Amino acid sequence: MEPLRDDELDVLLREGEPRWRPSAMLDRRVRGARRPRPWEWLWRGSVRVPVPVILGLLVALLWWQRARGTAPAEIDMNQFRPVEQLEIKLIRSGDAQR
Amino acid sequence: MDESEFEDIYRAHRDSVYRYARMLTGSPEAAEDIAHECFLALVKGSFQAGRDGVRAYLLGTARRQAFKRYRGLEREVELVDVVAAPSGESDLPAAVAAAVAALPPLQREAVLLFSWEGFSLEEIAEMTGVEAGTIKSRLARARETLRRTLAPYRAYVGGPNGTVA
Repeated sequence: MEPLRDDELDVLLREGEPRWRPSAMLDRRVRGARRPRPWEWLWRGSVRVPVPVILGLLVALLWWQRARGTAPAEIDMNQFRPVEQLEIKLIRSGDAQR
Repeated sequence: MDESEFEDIYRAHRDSVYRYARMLTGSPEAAEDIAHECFLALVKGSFQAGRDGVRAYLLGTARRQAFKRYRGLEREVELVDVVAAPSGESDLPAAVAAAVAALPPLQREAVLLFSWEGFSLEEIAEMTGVEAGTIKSRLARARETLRRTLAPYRAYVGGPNGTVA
């Protein structure tokens, strides 16, 4: 039998193109996988934070740390103890001026 | 990629990805698995809208998945043996599908991508990682085979303008 011409083959390929469609199961699988479960966000979620906010937070953190370093140590009243041996030293007013 | 954008892409390319995977593997079930993996890869993977055409990305992923599937079974990459040879169907689409399915895998792929998916030789070369000239010669050999295999279906072709009878 004589082979088809190019144009005949093109027609057959065009008209004979299979119209296969996947089952509805594929839709369910793909769409189901697309929607994440709410709890997954706790593991895989992310939060976008603007750079100015991050910079502001960094500045605030640095300022807070510096302020904390220069503040006087907090006094705990429980650390006060009675004096065990009292030595009284009298200073006259003349000594103090000298 | 937001939900509606993904849905648009899924609706536009679902049938095409499925059909391509089915022609490569010969199995409706494997084709659905591959299509599923392709769209998951689109969501989670490396697709960049500016760089890749989405259809080329999906079909390229389907191709890799199809070949990987058979490598995983430690077989030669001979997908042709899992599809039926032409068996004289009276139904034209079935006969054409069977004739294309009976081609060697790389020739079959060239026909699928060029004649049915409408990619250019250069696009197919990029997707498959070979020279455009190689694709051209695969396509020529495939068409030569199909011209003979489908000759009994000449009656389906009508007048000189190529209408189907």
